Amino acid sequence: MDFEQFKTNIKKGEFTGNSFAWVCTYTPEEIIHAAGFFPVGIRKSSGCEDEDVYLGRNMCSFAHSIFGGALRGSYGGMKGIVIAHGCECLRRLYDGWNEWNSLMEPSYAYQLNVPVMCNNLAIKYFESNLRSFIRELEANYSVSITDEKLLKSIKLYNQTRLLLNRLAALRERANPPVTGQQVWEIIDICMSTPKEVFNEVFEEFLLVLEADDKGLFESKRKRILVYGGLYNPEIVKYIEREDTGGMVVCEDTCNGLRYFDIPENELSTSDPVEMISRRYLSKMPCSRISGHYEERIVSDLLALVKRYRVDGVVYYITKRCENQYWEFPSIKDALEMDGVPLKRIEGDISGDIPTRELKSFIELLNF
Amino acid sequence: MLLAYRQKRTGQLEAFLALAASRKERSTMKDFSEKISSIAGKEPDKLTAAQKRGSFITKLLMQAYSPNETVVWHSLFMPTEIFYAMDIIPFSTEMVSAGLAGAGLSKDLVEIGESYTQCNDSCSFATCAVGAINEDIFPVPDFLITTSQLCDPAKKLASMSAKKYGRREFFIDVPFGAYSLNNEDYSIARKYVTRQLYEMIAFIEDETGKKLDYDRLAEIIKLSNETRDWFRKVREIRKGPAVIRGAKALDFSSVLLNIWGSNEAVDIFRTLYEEVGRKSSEGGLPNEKYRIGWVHLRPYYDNTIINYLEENCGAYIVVEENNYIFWDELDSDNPLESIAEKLLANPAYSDLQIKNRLYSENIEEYRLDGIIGYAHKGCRHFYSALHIASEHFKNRISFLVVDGDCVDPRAYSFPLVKTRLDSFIDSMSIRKDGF
Repeated sequence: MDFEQFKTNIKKGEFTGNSFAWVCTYTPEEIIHAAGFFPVGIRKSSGCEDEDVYLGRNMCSFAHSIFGGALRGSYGGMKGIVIAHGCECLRRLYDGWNEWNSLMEPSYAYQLNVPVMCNNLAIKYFESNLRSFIRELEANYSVSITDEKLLKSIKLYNQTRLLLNRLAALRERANPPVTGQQVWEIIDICMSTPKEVFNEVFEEFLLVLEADDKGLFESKRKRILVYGGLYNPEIVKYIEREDTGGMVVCEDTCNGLRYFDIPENELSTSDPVEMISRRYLSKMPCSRISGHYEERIVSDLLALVKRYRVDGVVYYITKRCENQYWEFPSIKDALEMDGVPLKRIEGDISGDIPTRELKSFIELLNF
Repeated sequence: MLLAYRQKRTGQLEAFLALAASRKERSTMKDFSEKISSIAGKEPDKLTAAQKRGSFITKLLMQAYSPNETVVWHSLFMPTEIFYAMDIIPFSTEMVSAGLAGAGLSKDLVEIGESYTQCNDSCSFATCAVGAINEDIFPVPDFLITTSQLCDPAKKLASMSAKKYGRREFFIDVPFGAYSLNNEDYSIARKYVTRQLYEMIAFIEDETGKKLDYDRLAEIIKLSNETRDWFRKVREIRKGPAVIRGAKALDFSSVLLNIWGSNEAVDIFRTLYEEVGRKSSEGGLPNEKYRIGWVHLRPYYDNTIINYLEENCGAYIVVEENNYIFWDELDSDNPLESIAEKLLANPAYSDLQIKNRLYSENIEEYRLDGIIGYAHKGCRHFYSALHIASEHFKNRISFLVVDGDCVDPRAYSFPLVKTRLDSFIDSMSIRKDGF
């Protein structure tokens, strides 16, 4: 099976009914799944950013894209959306959804409060928020979310994470059997395909990749790590062009490792909600995280640079993301201290990228 | 023996004063030194409320530069009662940024801050503070206390500052939207914040080597409650004819002030109550034509907007969002639970439906003719909220959103704003008088 066949096979099993949207990787899909829905991650541009004239011009392109998409029917047929309180822009996205509820599709939106730190107290508190979310889904959709169903969903999602981690491990190779562009597509497919289907089809494809010891790149490439929240996939495409001379070996992003890095620890407790709470707050943090756990942002990145033998890091900032703006200096300092070349690129989640800057960065890595 | 890092404060103060002196011509507080000397010559009892506030804030600022004081850098909305009970001087970088704008220093400092963040559309309160930190004109803190309220840059600014000065930071996660929680969930949220406050006290005790005296905290809480009572009375009087100029009222910014729990705060707000009471009995300010509710803050480097509204158009600001006393009286028998409730009660840290409800109440109670929101362009939180709210209220009341910046003067142009203010006055006139 090659990559194209993998995509074709996934489409055969595609499931569209009873879907429920989420927007931030701090949203436990397991709960939505245990409620009998098919969780769909809205994680890329709807192409309708300009339709949003409501939220105000200083929102990021991700918030504009989701809002515009909902106004234009991009998420038609979905039963609802859960908007995690991930940052200021998502905060206002939820407010806008409520204000113009009659224009939005889907009309139902739930705001999930997620602590911005990770310690036992926060994990306990998040657990109570998750229980409220469960009660809300049960009441609003007349469903029952039992521990048994949650444990089953956890098992399914852990299987997905295991597979994606096996994929990530392949990229440690000198010449990986998979490109960064393909990985972007695989994660995108994973977020918008029922995990029952994804796991089965992807495992088959993964076995092929694992058996491939040649690798995909014909020439020697510079190994690039992309860092950011939601990054623009055009970045990866450009880096991996033959004449640019790079290959993306890791994404420390919300569409990358932060989506699947650790599983729920099924042995830690018999309570699935506690398991979920601990997993989501303990996963690789994004720039929204504060307190002591924030230090992991830098230490995780430095560890990834070593693990993937990275030649350079591209820090992709989604314009108007305050968390990323303010996080950047500490990342820059840490990478400089370790002698890791860094390029800061600012842009939207889709559209044009500064190709010249990227090209010269990769050229410089060759000196 | 003085702690080595604190000894830097003397030099930091000198650098701060030297910078302020070099930019005196840009200051909107040109007569500041004259004001200070006139205050110095007056009996304390003869000072106005605004003078008392200015005097106390200046005193706190100077104390923060003293090597003998314990200084905490805290984020906005952090209740200060515990700090006063432990003899700790509160210092809010973002509030000081507003002062730096008034002193004509913000343009240069924002530019320096932008070289740190490498962007020009972030919050200028935080960016200006980074500029000041990089210029080393802020007093080095003993430690930092930060909460998740309200905005994202504040959290990052604090962690960056902690690293820069090598001082420890304690972080409090305040759940968003406690206003909308049911009783059970609210009680869990309160416990969550209360537990963190206990941990914060242990952290401060560890940092200072001093135990919190809960009897003293109970006394401080009584002072805080008394201050609250006076200010609530001021708000009641303001439901009648306009009695205080808008810029002056806005500068009390009671929800942001870090004077809650001090003796001085009681005196300041009692004096304010007496002043507005006197003005009310005189019939209020002259030529009141329109009553305005003001949302968010103002440009601190220039006061033409509000002066124009009040002096030229008779449009007086009678209520401000940042002067809303949103918390209940604190309970001195359960101080930490009570302070947790104060943190949770902030309507600004909740979904917009709550804020809209408060604006609705203000429209009725203060008989508003219009609402003006000053949308600080770098603030994702307020900027977007104001634009959504203006749509929400457009059929009910004249609602003007002025896009601008509170601290960064670079893109400010009064003539451009004036056109919009004139249209807004016309709109109120049509709604009110039918022409």
